[in-house]
Amino acid sequence: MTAHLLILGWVSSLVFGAGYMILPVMASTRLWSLRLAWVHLALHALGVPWMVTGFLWMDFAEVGHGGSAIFVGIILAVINLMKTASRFNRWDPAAITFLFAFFWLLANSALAILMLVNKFIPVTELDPQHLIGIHAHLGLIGFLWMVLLGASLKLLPMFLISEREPGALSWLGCVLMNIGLVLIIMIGLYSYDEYRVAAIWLLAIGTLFYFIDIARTLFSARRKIDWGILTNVFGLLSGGVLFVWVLAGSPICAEETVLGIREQMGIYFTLAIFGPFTLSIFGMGTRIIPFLIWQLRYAPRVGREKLPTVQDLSRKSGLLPLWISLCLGWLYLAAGQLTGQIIGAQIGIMLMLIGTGWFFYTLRPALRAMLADDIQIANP
Amino acid sequence: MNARPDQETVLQQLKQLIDPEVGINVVDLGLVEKINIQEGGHVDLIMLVTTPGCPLQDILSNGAKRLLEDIPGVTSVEVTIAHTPRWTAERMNPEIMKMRGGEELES
Repeated sequence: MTAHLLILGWVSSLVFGAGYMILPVMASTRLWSLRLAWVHLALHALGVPWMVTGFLWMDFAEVGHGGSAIFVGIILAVINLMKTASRFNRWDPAAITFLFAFFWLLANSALAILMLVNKFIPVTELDPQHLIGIHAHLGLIGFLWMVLLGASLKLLPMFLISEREPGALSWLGCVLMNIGLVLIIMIGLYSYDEYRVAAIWLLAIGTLFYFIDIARTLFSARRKIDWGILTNVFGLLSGGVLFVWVLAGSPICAEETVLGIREQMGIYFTLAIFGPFTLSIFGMGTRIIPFLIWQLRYAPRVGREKLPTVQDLSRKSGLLPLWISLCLGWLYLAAGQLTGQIIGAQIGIMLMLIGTGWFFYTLRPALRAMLADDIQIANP
Repeated sequence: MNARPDQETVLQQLKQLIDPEVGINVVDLGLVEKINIQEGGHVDLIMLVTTPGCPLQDILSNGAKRLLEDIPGVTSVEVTIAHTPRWTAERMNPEIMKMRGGEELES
């Protein structure tokens, strides 16, 4: 239940919101259908609480109903995003990675529906635990991790005014990652364990290629790299380490462990959601949210009057405490979860809550600008 | 009837257009690639953006159009965003560019 609440309620909602904003930017166009996005939002807002409540009462029929609403919403979202992407006049690895992420989301949602149907009408004899494994990896690596890589490839050069754009290595990384994900499915479906090492290497090298291109962007940045960007970078690094470590048969998801599959999955999800995804969302959010609010409030007035800049809509003094509390929080959480020390996990969560406070402190000028009737923000 | 504006007047007017991400005007940032002022007061402006696919390109071109239309003698304005040549930091006004560690630009 917690995993679905966090992934579908917290991370996916943000990813869809960002997808609707970023993909049109990538394609230099408008979203294909705003109305379809509203329908998706309604289905998602209806489906997530329905599904989570179903999990809470262990009522899988309700999980299925909620899941179906989410699934239909995802189909609509993918159609909308693909139609928007069809207007691309220049394909780059960031856009392709982004689109593959939504393809894997669609495939994974179909798998989730199959797993639920299978509980009532047996349609496959495949081991449910193997299907859960595929579901987890496709959700975290196929969808969220690839969204994160695609968004970082696109947004970092833009925010940092970098003269280097992602190139051949990211293209290659995208190919390797997708082959690795296909192998993950084969391993889960047909127990082809001999492919495990190949899958890990493909995913690890694919990620490494993306990282090299991202590092080149950082090193050729013309703007100062702030602690918000570094929070995003730490998130990416933590994700790379976590996914390779889990796939390689770490304490989590290893065959010989005292933990059951549910406990293992719980730790995996917790570390992934609060690590790479939360850190990246918060880190990048300190740049994206002021930018989007600036566009919303000031764009029509450009050339008519003196306006604040995007930088004026955030407080840089909050970025270092944000970085410290989130990164330290995740490390404590990871140490606590892996050693079974509850106090470590509690400290970790507390630090992450403090980090959330610093996030809103950083964004206070942007939020004030969004809510203000008459905007009077002084230039520093 | 107002006289045809000169290049300097156009540049001075464009200095009021600030790139909201960087906080520097588009002239000192090196985004103005070409200005062509025709006899009848029509102005063709070719601008660059700092990164390809920059989401601010429509905002900047609309802002430039509004500013230039305010110049006496300008009858019409056409702003084009070009992607070649690529913008590089060397296009910036060196007096405006603050060097940090030799490379980084502090906005």
